[in-house]
Amino acid sequence: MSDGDDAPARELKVVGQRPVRPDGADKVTGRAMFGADFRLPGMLAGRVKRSPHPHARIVSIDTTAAAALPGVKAIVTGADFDLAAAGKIEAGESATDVKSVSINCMAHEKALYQGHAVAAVAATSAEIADEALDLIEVTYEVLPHVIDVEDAMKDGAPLLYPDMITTGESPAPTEPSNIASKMVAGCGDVKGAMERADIVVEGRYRTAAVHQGYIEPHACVASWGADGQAVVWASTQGQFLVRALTAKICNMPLSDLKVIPSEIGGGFGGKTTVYLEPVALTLSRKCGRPVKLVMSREEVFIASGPTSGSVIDVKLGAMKDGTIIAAEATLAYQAGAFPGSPVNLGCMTAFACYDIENVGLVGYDVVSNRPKVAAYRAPGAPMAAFAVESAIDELALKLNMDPIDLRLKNAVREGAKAVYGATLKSIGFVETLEAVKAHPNYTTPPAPGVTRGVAAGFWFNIGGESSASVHVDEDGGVTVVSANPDIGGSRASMVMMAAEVIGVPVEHVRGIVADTASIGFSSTTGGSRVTFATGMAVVQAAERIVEDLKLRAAKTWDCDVSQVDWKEGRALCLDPSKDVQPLDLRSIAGKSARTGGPIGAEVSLNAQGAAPGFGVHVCDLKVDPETGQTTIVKYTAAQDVGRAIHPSYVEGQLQGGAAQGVGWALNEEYVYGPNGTLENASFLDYRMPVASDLPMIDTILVESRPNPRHPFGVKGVGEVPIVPPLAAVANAISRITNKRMTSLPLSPMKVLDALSGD
Amino acid sequence: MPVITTISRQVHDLAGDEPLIVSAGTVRKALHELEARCPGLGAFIEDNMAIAIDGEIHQDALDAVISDDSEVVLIPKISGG
Repeated sequence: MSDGDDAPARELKVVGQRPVRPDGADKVTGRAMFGADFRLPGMLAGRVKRSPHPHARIVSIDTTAAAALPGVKAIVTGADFDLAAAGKIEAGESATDVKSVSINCMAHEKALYQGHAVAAVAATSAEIADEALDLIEVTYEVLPHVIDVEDAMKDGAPLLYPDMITTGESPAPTEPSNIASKMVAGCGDVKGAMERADIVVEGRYRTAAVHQGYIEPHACVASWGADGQAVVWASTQGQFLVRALTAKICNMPLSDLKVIPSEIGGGFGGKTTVYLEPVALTLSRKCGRPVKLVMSREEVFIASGPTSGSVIDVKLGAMKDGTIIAAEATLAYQAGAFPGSPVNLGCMTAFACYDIENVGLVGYDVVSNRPKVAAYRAPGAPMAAFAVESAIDELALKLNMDPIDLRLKNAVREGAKAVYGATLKSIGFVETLEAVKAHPNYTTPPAPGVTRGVAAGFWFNIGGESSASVHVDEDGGVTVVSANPDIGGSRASMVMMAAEVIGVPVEHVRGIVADTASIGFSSTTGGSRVTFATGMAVVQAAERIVEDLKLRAAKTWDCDVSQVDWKEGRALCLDPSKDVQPLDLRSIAGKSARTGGPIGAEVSLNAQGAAPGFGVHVCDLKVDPETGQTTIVKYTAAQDVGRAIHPSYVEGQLQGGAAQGVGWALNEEYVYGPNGTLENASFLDYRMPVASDLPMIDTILVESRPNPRHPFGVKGVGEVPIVPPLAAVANAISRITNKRMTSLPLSPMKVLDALSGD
Repeated sequence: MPVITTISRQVHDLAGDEPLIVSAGTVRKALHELEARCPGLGAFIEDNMAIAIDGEIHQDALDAVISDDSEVVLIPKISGG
């Protein structure tokens, strides 16, 4: 079996090609079944009542009138959820605090943000459910609220949790605060190095909370059976995570719950938790009928996780030749209403692109009266990169150095130590910088009136637990079953890797995403892990198939298996004493009963050896001096991708990450009114980029550093491309305004103010 | 013998003055040693930390091998989007 450690060089026929996307036809013809498309006989419509207040004690909930409404079949409130289920579960990537997840699904005692669920109804029609919500009487004691991270950290700020003592602080504080935890990290003598530096740049940078913006809202159907067995159909990045959390919250054994993933209309990290599933299942348990819950777009904004807004102080000290000798940053991230922002990842990625001897980092995880943050591509990294890459750009301007050359001078190279202490291996940051520097989009100067911004980014990439099975059909077709919802083209990668190993045309291989009862455990789709880790499981299963096929050919020919080779989908007999013709897959599969029965293999593993990825983006843009409107003229995204299995999907990942990052930089933000309620909970007022806002995003796939720990050299690719764009855009605008742009989004008003010198 | 390094203050707080030196073997063996010397430390690392061995980050990989000359670094577990 191969994990790539000692894999021989392969002559590739499928990997690296661009076959037709296996999910494409269903999606463009409307046949794909998304979360909200699923229906069952007798299914009820569910609706959720949400707090209008950002912070309030729930004095009472009276459901009497709602329950009496004809057509209402079930009502649930916080009292229906057993918080004794509290604790942590290992559900793949990391431990999850189930109590927080449960309270986030349905409030207990307090509403912690506008949109926090306080009750839910299942009724025979959506109209009746809506009417019932209006009849539920919730009495609140409104409490003072706090929205922004800096306000939440101040002494005297309204406290979400009167007993929350900051962890990670030494000595531990004696008074509660909204700071859930503090992280301190670093190396060397930062203070001394800053004093030795020829030049120091520093600044305070702010990013707004932004939503992942997946086009498909959260949706599920839950059905509780009379025998206590339950099924949930859900739009999710991880059916096993949904099963683990829902079963724990509903206090039932995992084996009594099957979760079936639907086709998914985007996730980007936002579908790595549960909001609706435990509520729908509890409603179904109460009334014995299936219940569907679908969020409206407004609910998606007010009640599902955006990523953190942040405030970051950065300081760099450098010598005249551009060598950065000291760096420090203090990062404060919004966690939303429950602890758990990705500030630790922000700290670890902030300076990860650079080899700096003296580094100091402090991170704060801060709660406030906002929806609990959820993962968003490269969680925590884009905000940190915005601050650090802006400071690097400022340094380049002060040193009059090319921004790529400055980064090349300080870039981490093979064998350098990351800020978190580990030696970096199989990295291609320098190659990526050099690829950009040599590209025509960089060697050609910007057009008149256009400025150029450069920024870089890093992400660890991860492996983890994955299962996959490969089956050969009687006619020689191949089915690859895995457990990772396909949010970025993983099905294509899986079937291509299987086709490559077995030696069959990719069109003969079908990829299936299975439910929790039909395949072994797999961690959630996220962290850029699936093509690496699940791909490793697929390759190993396919290799077992090949070994089995060789054995069956040997039986057929009555020779030793060592005398059988497998090439291009056929068994070849190497025994000169046998006068036999090659056996192809169809021939062996059609007579499998005579050689041992069905042909199949399943592999479960915990993949290690993920290699980090680096990206370098270049943004050319212009600004309308009268309106402040920014137009992206040209955009180039380069990345150290290991090896691209299906280059079109990899390019799509780079383009998608860049597009989302441009939106983060220019337009997107949660706008709260003085009463602590969100004022732009729709796609009309929360402006994400659309196709007409952006030029074609050019991509450069750097494949000179394949990952030696994967059979085909795969590195994760989905997270890195959202890390650089915030700073790439801001750096370009700063070069127009001649003023460092430090606060995102760079809306037309902010740009106009900067142009006017305000 | 391998020396474990980390940027985690929580690990240092749990370890106190105890040097993070372990015998060569597996991650599981190293965590048992740390737990025996500093109750709670091994369990904390197992639940909360990833372990980079010679530059390769391992999560929940207790069978991973630590050699006498291995570089062993603890970092917070990594998730993703």
